[in-house]
Amino acid sequence: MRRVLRLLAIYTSYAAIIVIIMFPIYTQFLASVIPRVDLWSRPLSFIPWSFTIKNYIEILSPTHEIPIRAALFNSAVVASGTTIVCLCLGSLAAYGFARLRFSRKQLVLSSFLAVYMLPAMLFLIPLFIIMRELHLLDTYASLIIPYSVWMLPFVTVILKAFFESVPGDIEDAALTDGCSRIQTIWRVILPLSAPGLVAAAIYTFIGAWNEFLTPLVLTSRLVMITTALGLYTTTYQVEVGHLAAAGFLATVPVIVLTIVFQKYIVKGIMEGSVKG
Amino acid sequence: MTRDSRLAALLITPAMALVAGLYFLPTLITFFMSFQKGDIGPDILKAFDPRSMTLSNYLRSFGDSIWIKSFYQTLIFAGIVIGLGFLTSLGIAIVLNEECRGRTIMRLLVLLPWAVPPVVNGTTWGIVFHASVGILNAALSQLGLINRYIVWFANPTLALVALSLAVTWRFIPYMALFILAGLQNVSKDQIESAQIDGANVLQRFRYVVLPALVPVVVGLIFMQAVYATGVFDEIYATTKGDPSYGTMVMNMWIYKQTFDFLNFGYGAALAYLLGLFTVIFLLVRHYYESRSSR
Repeated sequence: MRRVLRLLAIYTSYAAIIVIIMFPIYTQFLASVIPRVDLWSRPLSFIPWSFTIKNYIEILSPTHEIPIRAALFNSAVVASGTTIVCLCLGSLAAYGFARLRFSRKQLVLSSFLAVYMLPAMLFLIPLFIIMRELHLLDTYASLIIPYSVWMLPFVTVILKAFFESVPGDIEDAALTDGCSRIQTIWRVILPLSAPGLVAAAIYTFIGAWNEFLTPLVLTSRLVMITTALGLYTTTYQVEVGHLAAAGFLATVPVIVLTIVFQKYIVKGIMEGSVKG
Repeated sequence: MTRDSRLAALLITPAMALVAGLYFLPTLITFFMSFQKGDIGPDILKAFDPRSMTLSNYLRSFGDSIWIKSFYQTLIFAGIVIGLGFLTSLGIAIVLNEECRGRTIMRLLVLLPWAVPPVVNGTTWGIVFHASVGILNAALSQLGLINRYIVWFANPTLALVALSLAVTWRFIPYMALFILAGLQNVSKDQIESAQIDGANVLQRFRYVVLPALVPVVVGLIFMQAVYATGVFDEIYATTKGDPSYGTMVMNMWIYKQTFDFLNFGYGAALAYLLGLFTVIFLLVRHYYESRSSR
């Protein structure tokens, strides 16, 4: 009896959690796949009996007022670029912090970490001016560079934690066998820290994909998927179905990544927050 | 300098150079800008001109009724997000801590809001709370709870509460997983020995689990306070601070001052005031953690 009650309590809570988490996600999905008339008709059917992908076809067409297709492509390029830059520079820095002894290490590390704490508003205007002076406005680089700056500290902290868990003996063995430090990093440390690299990569990709304020300020002609969503909200008469479909397309890639790499993400969040 | 530290410097330099050039330098420029009046124009070096330095931007903020309003509203907003988010997350964490079939998939489900782009979170909840096609209105009226549709974003109080619910939703995964990790660190032996001593579920929670959780939770709350006071995307995607400044939060007002009204100097000063809160939260967290780890 006690066991049955316990299971009942747990599954009731599960149902409540499913409702809390899925309600907005499902709402958006529903609004994107039912015809316009159904969305406005009452009573509203919460199951999409008359399923349509018209909204998706319309927003992905090149004649759509907001270039969703280009925006998805741009976001993918910027997020991938940021991930590559962060992993390259981050793993070097993380190795430096993890393995090598030098004075004032803690101070350097904390000043490094301060970056992802302060409000982005603090540096956006000068950043805009710097990018303009470098003639980088409306290029992929104008976003990849600042994103990398903001993600690097977190990436470094995650990777440092993983590098520290690689046994020193293995590394020493590689060094005595005549590997240089760089070869050791490349051949021994990185392969053994693969989960950390995956966690850092996913975290960076999602962070860059989701960033909104920076492209809002820094770019005008180059539309990211997040700023595309922002454009809908500044349009006077917005088609709810279009907005929902665009939002759903913007969410799918990050949700898929999250589902596939769940284990690494949770581990990465924990490492980063505990050590940070 | 030993060989090791030279190599360390070499490895860390690229990352540090990037951070110095595109983070510390801009932050410094903004600091000087906050002491210059109005739009400093295209010549960034003017920001450093000592002759025209003034405290007027900071003084102006004390008389800016919308800034003061946005300050209180940010606190209310963060209070709801953290309070409600914490209670919900604690509940979720306790449930997910129970051994049960389906737990793995539930953990995955709870993680999902973390990945949703904040601006999409805004537009999604905008659809939920939409006055005419809104799903919430439809659901409430079909359940017979309301007679006529509520225009959620027309009432300042309702709009602020509605938007804090939206942001709470996005904060749940991080808090729930964090508390769950804390729960899993509570020693099983202690719980069992309390059970043998005759403590019931509530007593075990109150006297064994809770004390072990507190250090984790305090750090978590100050961390979330930093993020909650800096919220922007959801507000921009829905009300942009309306109706009648009822959902104006500090970051939104800074954005408006800077990029709509082009008051670069004033915007910079306000950004530094917001940054001050961040630093206070972080210092409290740091103080608390260094004290509890001793």
